[in-house]
Amino acid sequence: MKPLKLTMSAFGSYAGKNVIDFTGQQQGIFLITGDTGAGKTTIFDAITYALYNQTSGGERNGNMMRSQYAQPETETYVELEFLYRGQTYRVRRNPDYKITKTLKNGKIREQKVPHSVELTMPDGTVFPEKKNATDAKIIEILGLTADQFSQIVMIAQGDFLKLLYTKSDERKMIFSKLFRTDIYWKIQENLRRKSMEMDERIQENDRAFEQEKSRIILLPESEELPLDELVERLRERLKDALKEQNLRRANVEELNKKITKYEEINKLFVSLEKIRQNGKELEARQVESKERRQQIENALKADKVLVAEQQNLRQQQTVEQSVQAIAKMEETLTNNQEMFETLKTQLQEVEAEQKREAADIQKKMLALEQSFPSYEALQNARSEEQQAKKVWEDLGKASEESFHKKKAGIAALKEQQKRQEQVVEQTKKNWEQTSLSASESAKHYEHMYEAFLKEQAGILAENLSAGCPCPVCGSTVHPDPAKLPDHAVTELEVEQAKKTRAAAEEKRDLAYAAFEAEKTEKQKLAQAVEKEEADFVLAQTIAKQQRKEAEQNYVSLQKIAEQIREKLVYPSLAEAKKQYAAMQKALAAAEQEIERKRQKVSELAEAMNTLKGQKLAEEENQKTAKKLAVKTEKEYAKLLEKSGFVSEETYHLAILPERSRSKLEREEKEYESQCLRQQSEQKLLEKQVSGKTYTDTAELNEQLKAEKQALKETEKTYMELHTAYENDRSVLQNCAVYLEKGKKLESEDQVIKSLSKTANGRLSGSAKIDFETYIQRQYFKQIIHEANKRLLTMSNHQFILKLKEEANTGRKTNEGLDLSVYSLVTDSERDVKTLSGGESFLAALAMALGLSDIVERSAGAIHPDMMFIDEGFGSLDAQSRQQAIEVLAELAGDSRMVGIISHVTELKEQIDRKLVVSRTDKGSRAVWTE
Amino acid sequence: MESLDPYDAFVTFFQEMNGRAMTEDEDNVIRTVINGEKEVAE
Repeated sequence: MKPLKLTMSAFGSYAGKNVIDFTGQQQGIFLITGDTGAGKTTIFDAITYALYNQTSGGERNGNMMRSQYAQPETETYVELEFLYRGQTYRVRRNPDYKITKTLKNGKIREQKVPHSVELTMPDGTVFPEKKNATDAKIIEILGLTADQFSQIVMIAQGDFLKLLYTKSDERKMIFSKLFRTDIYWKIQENLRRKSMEMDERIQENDRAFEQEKSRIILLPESEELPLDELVERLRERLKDALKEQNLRRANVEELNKKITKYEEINKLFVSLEKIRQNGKELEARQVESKERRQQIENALKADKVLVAEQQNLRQQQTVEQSVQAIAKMEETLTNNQEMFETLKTQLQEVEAEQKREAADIQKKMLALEQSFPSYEALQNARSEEQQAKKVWEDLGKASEESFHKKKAGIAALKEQQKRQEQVVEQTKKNWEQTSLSASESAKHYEHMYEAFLKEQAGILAENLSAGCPCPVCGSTVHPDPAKLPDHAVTELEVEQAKKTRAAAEEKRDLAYAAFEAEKTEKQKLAQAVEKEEADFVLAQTIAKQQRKEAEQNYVSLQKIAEQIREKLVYPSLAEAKKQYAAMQKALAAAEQEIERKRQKVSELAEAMNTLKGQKLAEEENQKTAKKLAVKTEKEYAKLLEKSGFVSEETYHLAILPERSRSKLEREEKEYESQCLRQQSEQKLLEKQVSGKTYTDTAELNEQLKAEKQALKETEKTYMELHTAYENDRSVLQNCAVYLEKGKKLESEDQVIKSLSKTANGRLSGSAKIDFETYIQRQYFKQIIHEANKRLLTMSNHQFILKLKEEANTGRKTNEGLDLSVYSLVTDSERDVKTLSGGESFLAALAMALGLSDIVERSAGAIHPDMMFIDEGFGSLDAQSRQQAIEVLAELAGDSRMVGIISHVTELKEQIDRKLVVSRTDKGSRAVWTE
Repeated sequence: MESLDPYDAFVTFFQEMNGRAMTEDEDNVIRTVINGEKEVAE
């Protein structure tokens, strides 16, 4: 990896945008120089930040790198273009920071810019993933993490020393990544894990074995027996228990059979006793049955008589009803006859009265008919009277309205006349004023003109000159010319006065004309008022005369109508016709009333005839009914006698309702059925018990109970033995499995343990080097070998580095990567911590270079084509420094770039190519110089 | 720098550390482990 171009904007001490072009320094050594604090290390910080979001020292976070000298509107970012394996990449990164922006409206706004990174691939495309993935991609491209990059590519002196003095464990981690020895570590880890798993499995098997053993069910007398003997003992006892259990079961079964048989016979005897008792009870109910049967028989006989009796009663009732009906008819007929006579008399009286009243009404109607023309005359007279009245009233209203209008018109004219008088007065005043003004203007003009004429001599004299003739006198000599006064009237002023006069006179004439016109208008208005007032008086006189005549006509017609009215009964023709119609209606009503009464008499007579006919028919029916009643009575008596009842009362007592009789019949039937059933069951049971006896089973039941209890205990014992046997047999089998498995696990564990202890450096009595360390040690030996090649030159053949021998690594784990120093002068070995500052620098540098060599050669994955060495030269003497530069120049060769950062003056002379970093008020600047 | 084959390296390592060669069982186990790790790495 080689940087091509580094752009820093508002980063660290670089306030503005700084671009450092490395394309001219792709190989060989070069110096980065400048005063302390000028910003030399910031260049490396920027590279590390761009690649890894960390500074080279790892002490400062990238987000802290916003330059404190930056302008508020300047962006902060670092852009690094670098070459790797012939491909050009570009990475641009900015931290979180705030920037000030000026908006369109002129306002300034502070805006937060989030951290971002953008990786441009060699084909010009931008890596499309987000920040974390981009960071991972950069690590993948370079093959180094930030820490590895810092230690191998940008190695500060401190870092050299750190690598030199670091402990085996830390060195092991660096080498693990560099030489990809993680697979060896994984193998040893795998073995360690397997060993642990094996331990767990063995422990688990042991636990399971113990747990299984704890499940053993012991018998009191077999506690001391081994498990297999215990199981055999249990099996024998289980066999015995089963025999006993079967014997007990047979006994119980035998007893159960016996008891069942006896109890069945005993049940028959009990049933027979019960059925016999039932027979006795039925026998006791025989009398009751007999009475019930007699009651039913009597009821049936009574039913036959009952029909005849009911028929007879109905017939007797028919005769009685007929008698009552005829009596009622006779009573009705008597009442109707009386009513008929009364109605007939009333009708005759009403007819006579009606005849008289009708004659009177007809007389009144005739008179009324004859007066109808008079009523019509009255109606006409009243109509004329009303018309005359209306004429009289209309005249009054019309004259009132006319007079009102006339008065209003005259008042308006008078008002107009009054206003006109004011106008006339005003125009008169105006005329007088303009006349006065015109007089004054005329006087003024005359005054001006007169003054002007008086000053003519002075005016002429003004133009006189010696030798020129006077226009008045013709003299060419002017010894005493007239003098023009200081305020002489000019011709222009005279002309102006003349115009003013003419204007005033025109104004006056116009005012006079206006005055005359208004005066004429005033006179016209006066004449109009006078005429209107005269017309008004005349109209009043005519209207009064007309109204008087109309009034007289109205009064006259009123009198005529009153005279006609006095001769008539009703006030109007309508009323007279109304009365006439009422009389006609009364006549018709009287006729109708008489007709209604006649109808009523006629209806009553007809009803009486009908009733008489009905009475005769009923009398015939009665005769027939009486004959039939005699017959039914005889029939009833005959049947009663035939039925055998002692008396009619006995017969009546025997009668039963249908429901009661049915109930008795059902009871009797049930009783008979019970008797038959009882007799049948008794016979059957007597047959069944024939030749058998009743047996008491109490003793047998006691025996059975005892036998069952014994069986229960036997079963319990058997179950306990069976459970114990099955359980212990299972435990025995399982324990055998666990034991077998344990043996196998122990065997496997021995193999795993052997491998794991070896791989993890835990063998007793052997070097504590694990497998990965062993492999790394092989690599480290090569690094030391490479380092020593340079160190011989750099230390002037004073010392070399030496890896601790395996035999001397002691019993402490991972000492296999520890270093020592071998002095070629004294032929002795010592610890690296005894090296001086200069020696440490050379040793660390040699080792770092050795690392680079190894890394470069290993796997071909990592190409640290550049190296920066930060300070450390100050502690070297001139010879050592020269040696170091020679080594570095040789190292750089034709393909590697090595930058030395130092402010040591001598180095400036020894190295041609220099990047000079300076500090100004506006921040740092970096410039290449030769 | 050539990378070492894990199995060969372990055989040598075991011999050095234990002063003996691996048994057949040990050899079988280490082969299984190394092959497993190689498969994971691939």
